[in-house]
Amino acid sequence: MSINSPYSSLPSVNFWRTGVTESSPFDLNGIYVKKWNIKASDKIATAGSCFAQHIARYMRKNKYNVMDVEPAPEGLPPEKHNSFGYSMYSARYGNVYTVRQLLQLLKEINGELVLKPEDYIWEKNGRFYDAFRPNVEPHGFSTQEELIVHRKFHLKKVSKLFKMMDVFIFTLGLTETWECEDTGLVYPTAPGTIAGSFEDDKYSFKNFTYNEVYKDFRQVQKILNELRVGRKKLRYLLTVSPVPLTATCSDRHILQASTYSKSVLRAVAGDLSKVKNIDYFPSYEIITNVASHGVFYENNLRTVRAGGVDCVMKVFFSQHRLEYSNATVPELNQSSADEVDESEDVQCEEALLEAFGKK
Amino acid sequence: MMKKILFCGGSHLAHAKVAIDQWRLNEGKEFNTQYLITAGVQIRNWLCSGKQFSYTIEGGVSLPNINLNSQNYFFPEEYDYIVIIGNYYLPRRLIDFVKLWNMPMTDAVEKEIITNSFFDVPLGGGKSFKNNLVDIINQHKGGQSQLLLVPDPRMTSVIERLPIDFIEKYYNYLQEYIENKNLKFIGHDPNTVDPINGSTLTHFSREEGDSIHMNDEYWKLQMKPVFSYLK
Repeated sequence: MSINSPYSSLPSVNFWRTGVTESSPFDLNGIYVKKWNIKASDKIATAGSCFAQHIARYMRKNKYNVMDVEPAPEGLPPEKHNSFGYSMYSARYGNVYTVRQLLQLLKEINGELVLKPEDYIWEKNGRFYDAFRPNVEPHGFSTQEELIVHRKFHLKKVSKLFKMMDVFIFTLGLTETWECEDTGLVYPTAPGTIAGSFEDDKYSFKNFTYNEVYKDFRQVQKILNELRVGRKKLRYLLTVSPVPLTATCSDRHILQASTYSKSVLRAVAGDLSKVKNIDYFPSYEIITNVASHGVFYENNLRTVRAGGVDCVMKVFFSQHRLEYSNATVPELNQSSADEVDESEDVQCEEALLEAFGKK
Repeated sequence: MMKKILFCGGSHLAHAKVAIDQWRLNEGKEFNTQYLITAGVQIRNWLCSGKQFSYTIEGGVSLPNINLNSQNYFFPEEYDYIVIIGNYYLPRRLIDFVKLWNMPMTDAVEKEIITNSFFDVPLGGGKSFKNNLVDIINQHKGGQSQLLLVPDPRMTSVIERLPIDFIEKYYNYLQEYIENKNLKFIGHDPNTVDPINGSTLTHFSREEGDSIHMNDEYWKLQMKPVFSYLK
């Protein structure tokens, strides 16, 4: 009688020794197998935490049809685009760190959430900031009325984006957020960080659980389905940001808090991607792979190096190749890494926390 | 010792020359004036082909990108004053983009676009040319030279297509930008500006129907603060 184990016929990537210990972290074959093709004609929308900016940028460079419904006005120098929230994602919504934030945006678009100006207008030094995307106007708006006009315009454009897109790439970033106790609204930055002021009887710290994140995403799907009546089924590509938390307001050590946050998001993404139209891309695993000994991170052990992003996208493009000849698989070489490193300044409000944190 | 002034410009300089000559005859006798033709459509087209600005003392010729201080080229540091008249920062190329923006704009974004357009002038279709005349002269003018900038007339054909508040912003940012470089900006004489649409009043036109070039009366008014500054 032969000894048969359910492991005996499994491929090498299923074993830690061959899949990780003996594999180059720079060239992780078999870590990702696509569920479906992304065609050149597919309209792609991107959103999420700051790591998602890299994905959008690389996909654009590789001639994917990444939508931009709020392009930078002509004449604005390219190096200024990101500081005004342009060319980061498919719309000028800035970083969407939590699924709840995305859900709020959708509810605002479909009319389910009617906001009062005081719900989303923060003031600082006589200038006004959109609390849901405080970084898109670095100097703020001159009046509340101007801000309202800009927000309405933004919502109109995002509505168009969500109706038109075929593939939605969303990077889950955080579980921690700040919530207004009266309204239940959440914000991408703590009040008082960029604008507004922190009132502890008004805002409270919120750390989402698995169930909350999962439920929020299901609601996102429901609203998108309603918005997109008559359009073909939306495909989702989920990723989890490998960028650790900058700071936590939970009562845990930052390492525990960060692990909790990423674990919840990774678990939710895993469960959501059990269905055919949702794929999970393991950028988180590629960057945090213990075999890399942290080499993909800058000295702050938080910011992902350009070379790390190159590795992630190399895996992505090894599966998603456009069928026309213009598409190229990016080569991992130092010169391209340097170029990206110097020229691409990923906007991340979270980094602001460092300025407010203890030295 | 006579003070040396270099007047730079294109067609606007030509139209201002009567006013300059009269001033020199009456009040500016102690100044040695020279002229340098630095702008014009041909030069702009030449710039669009990727060439760098460079000037000869005789003017009117644009040359390949070589050292400004080479033989036969003018030496900005030799002048006590350099006055650039028009053709350095133009709002006209922004017009189409103003229409194209089709989105609400904030002051900050407008400011970035306008100030960027001072030196990177958009031509549409992603093309632009480097409008670096001021920077080049400023860089080479030497410690003693003073650089004064006189803007183009507010050409009706250009200005009337722009919102009035945008025009004011444009000139405010222009002034701020120039003054941040420690240069002297000579604003438009208020008596030449139509308060309704912000353009130069049509009766200052050199010829009927010419919204670009202005007559001697205009240039006498416009150059008055320049002459007052030259001591």
